[in-house]
Amino acid sequence: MADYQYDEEVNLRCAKCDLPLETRSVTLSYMDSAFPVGLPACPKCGMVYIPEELARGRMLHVEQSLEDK
Amino acid sequence: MSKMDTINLENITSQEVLHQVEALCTAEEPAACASTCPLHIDGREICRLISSGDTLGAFKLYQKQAPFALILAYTCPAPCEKVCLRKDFGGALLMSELEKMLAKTEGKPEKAPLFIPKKGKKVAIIGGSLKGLSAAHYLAKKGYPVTLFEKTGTLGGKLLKGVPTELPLEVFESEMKILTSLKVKLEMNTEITNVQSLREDFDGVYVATTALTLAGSEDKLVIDTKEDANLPPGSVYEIFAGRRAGTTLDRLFQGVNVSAGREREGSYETTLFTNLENVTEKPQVVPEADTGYTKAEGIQEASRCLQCKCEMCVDKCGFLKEYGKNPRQYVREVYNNLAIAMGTHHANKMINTCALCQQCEAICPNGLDMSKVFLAAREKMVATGKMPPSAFEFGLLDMDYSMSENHFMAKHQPGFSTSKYLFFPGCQLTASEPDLVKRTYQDLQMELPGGVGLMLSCCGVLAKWAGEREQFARVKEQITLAWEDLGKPLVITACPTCQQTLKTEMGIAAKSLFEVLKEWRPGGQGSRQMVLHHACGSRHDEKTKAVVSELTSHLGIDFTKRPDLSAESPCCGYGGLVPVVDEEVAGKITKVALKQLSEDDKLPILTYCVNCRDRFLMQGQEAYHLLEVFYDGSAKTRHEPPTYSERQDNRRRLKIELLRELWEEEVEEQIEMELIINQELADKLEKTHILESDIRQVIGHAEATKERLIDPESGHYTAYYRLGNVTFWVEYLPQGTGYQVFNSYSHRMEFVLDDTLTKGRS
Repeated sequence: MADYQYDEEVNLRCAKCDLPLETRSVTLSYMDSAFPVGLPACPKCGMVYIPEELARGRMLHVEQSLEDK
Repeated sequence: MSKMDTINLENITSQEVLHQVEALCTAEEPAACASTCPLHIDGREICRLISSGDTLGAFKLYQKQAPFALILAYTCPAPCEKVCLRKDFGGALLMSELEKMLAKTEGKPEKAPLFIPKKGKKVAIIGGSLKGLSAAHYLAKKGYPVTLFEKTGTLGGKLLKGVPTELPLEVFESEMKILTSLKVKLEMNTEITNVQSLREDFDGVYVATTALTLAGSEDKLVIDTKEDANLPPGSVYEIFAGRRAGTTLDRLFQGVNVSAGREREGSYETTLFTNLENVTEKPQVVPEADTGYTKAEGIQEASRCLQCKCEMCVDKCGFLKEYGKNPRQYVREVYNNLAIAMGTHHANKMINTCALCQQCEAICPNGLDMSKVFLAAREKMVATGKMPPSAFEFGLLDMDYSMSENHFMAKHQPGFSTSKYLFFPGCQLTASEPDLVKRTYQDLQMELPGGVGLMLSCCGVLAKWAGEREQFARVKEQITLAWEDLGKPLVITACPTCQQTLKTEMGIAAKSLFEVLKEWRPGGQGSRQMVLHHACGSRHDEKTKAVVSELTSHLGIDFTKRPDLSAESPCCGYGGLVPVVDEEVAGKITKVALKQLSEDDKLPILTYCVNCRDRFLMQGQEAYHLLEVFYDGSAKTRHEPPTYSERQDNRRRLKIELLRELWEEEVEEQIEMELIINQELADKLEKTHILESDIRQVIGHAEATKERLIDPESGHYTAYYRLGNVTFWVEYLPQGTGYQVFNSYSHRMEFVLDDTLTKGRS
C-alpha cells in the first residue's frame, strides 16, 4: 500500500521506449527510512519521473525531518 | 587566559560545563534596583509598565512582590535609588515617589486567597512591629495557624509613632485587614516574658522584638532578630526580616535544608552589565504639588528608566538577533539539543548558522565566546552521527574541489629549486579575483629574493567550521606535506583566516601579504574616504590590523571618518559556512554588519578578505578588496561576487593559466559542454546549490545512455543522474553545439522501482 501517489497529469513519454508514463510502485528512501509511493514511470524500461513540485515539496520536507531526527 | 579558555567544551554535553558557560552571560541577571531591594522588587519592569501607561499593571506587580504594598509604598527608603544607573545621567529614578504615586492612583489593599491548604504546625509571633506583621502575613499565607502577641494596644510599632509621618492611618488600617482574612489571631495587650513556655502550645516561635533576649536557648524552632543586626533601618528591611524568619520556620517545619538556595535572599550586587555608552542626561521629574507625582508626572519619570540590560552582543549580530534569544538561552538550547536521544532536534539550524566570527567574545564583558559553543556542538553532532547530512555538504564538496587536481598545486617559483617564501592566496581569492592572484604572484616573484613558491589550496577552515575534524585533518596533512616538500618556506597569506588557520592549527609560519605590500608603497596622497573593515580572521591579530591600516593610509585612503571597530568588527555573513547552510540568515548577518559599518552615508567599504567584499557587494554596498585598491586599475579585476559554478571555474582556469604562462607546461584541457542558461534559471541554480558541472554530468549521462523522458509538445528532454548523495534532474534541449537548459532541481532521497522485472536505475 503506497503512502503517497502522484496523481497529477504527466505528459512526458519515455524517449527510449516511446511509451507514455504510467503510475508504478516506487520506494523512496533516505537515512534508513523507506516510503512506498506511486510515481509516473515507463511501463517498459522503468525510468521513473520525479516532478519538481514533489522533489522540492514533500520530499524535501521528509528529508529535512529525517535529518533532524 | 580568559574565563572561556578555562571551560572544557569537549564536555559540552555535561551540566557542569553548561553552567560554567551560562554563568558568563549576565543577560538574565536582575537590574541593580531589583538585586539591591531586599524584597527584589523589579523596579525596571515597574518603570516599563508605568511608562507605557499601565499603572494598574505596575501596582499589581509591586503588590505581588511586596507584602503590605500600600504601607511600603508610603514608607520605603528606596535603597534602589542609590544603585540606579541613571544616577549619573540626571539623577536616579525617584522610585520612592513612583511607589507613592502607584499607591495613590491604583492602590487597593491586598485580598487573601480564597483557599489556603491548612498546615498542622502552629506559630507564635511576639511583637506587632512591621517585622512581626510581615512574618505573620508570610506564614499565614502558607497555611500555618498564626497567633501574634503584642504587648501594647496597637500594631505597627514605631511605624505609627511618627516614623514616618507620611503614612496615613487609614492606609495602615486598611492593610491590617488582610491579617483578619488570613485568620491571624491577634493577642493585643499581651506581654510575653517566658518564650520557652510558649513552646508548649506552639510548634515554632518568632521573637520579632529586641525587647526579649533569648540568651542560651538552643531551641531551633525559636527564632529571634539576631540575624537582622546588619540590616539598615527602614520598612522594606523590616518586611524582609519578617519574611526571612518566616521562611526559616517554614523550612524547619518541612524538614528541608534551611540555608540551601538562599544565597541571594536580601540585597546583593548584580552582575548584570549595562552599556552606558550612549546614555544622555535626563533630569529627574519634580512633582509640582506637595502631594507627590500625578500619574502623568509618574509616567514621565518612569520613562527615564534605562531598562538596564546586557544584550550588546545580540544587538550587533544578525545571527543572535535571528532567533530572538540571549546567549544564555542559546547555550541552554544547544545543551538540550545535544541531549535529545529520540525526537526532533529543533536547534540544528540554529547551531549551524552561527558565523563563528567571535565578535560576541570581543564585545562581552565576560568574554563569552559563542562561536566556541556552536563549534563544539557541531563537532559533537558530527562525532555522534547527528549532523544533518545536507547541512554543510555543498560547502565541503567545494572545498574538496579546491583540494583536488583541478585547483590544488604547490610549486617552487619557475626556474628555482628552493623556495624562501610560499604565496598562499587561499581558495576564495582564486575564485573571486583570479587575475589579482596572478598579478600579485608575479610581483612577489620580482620583488622578493630567494624564490617565491605558490600553493593553490584551501586552508581547511571550511571543514573546521563544519565540525568535520577528520576532514580537516586530511586537508592539514595535504598542505603540510606539500609545504615540507617545498622546504618549509615562510608562507605569505592573502587571507587573514588562512593565516590564522595555518599558524594556529598547523604550526606553519605565515605572514600577511599586506605586510609585504606595505613596504612597496611608502606613503601616498589623496583622501578617498572609505570605511576600513577588519575581517574576522584578524580579530585578535593586532599586527595584521596595524599593517593593513598603515598600508591603507599609504594608498591615500582616509578611513578616519568612522571609528576603527577593530576586534569588535562585525561578520560579513560568510563565516561558519552560513551561506551554505542558510543564505537567508547569512543575508541578515550581512545587513546587520553593514549597519555598523556603512550606516547612512554609504561610504564605500575597504576590506582585506574577498568574502567580506563579495558579501557586501551582494547587498548592493560599494566595497573593495585591498588588492583592488593597491593595483588601482593597473590589474584586471572582476569586482563582482561569483556564482558557485564560477568559483570552481575560476580556480581551475587560474591553475591552467599559471602552469601554461609561468611554468610553461603543456596542460590538456577538456572541451567543456556548452550550456545556455538564462539569468532567472542561473539565480535559481545558485540558490538551490546546483552547479553547471552537475548539469553537464546529467546531460552527458542522458545523451550517452539515451535514458531520457520527452515532452511531446515542446520536445524538451528530462533526465536525471545521481552524483554523490544528490539526484539532479535537468530539462534540456540540444542547441547548436551545446544544450539549452530550461530547468533543474534536485533531491537527496533515493528511489527504486519496486517491480523487480523492470528495476529502475538507482
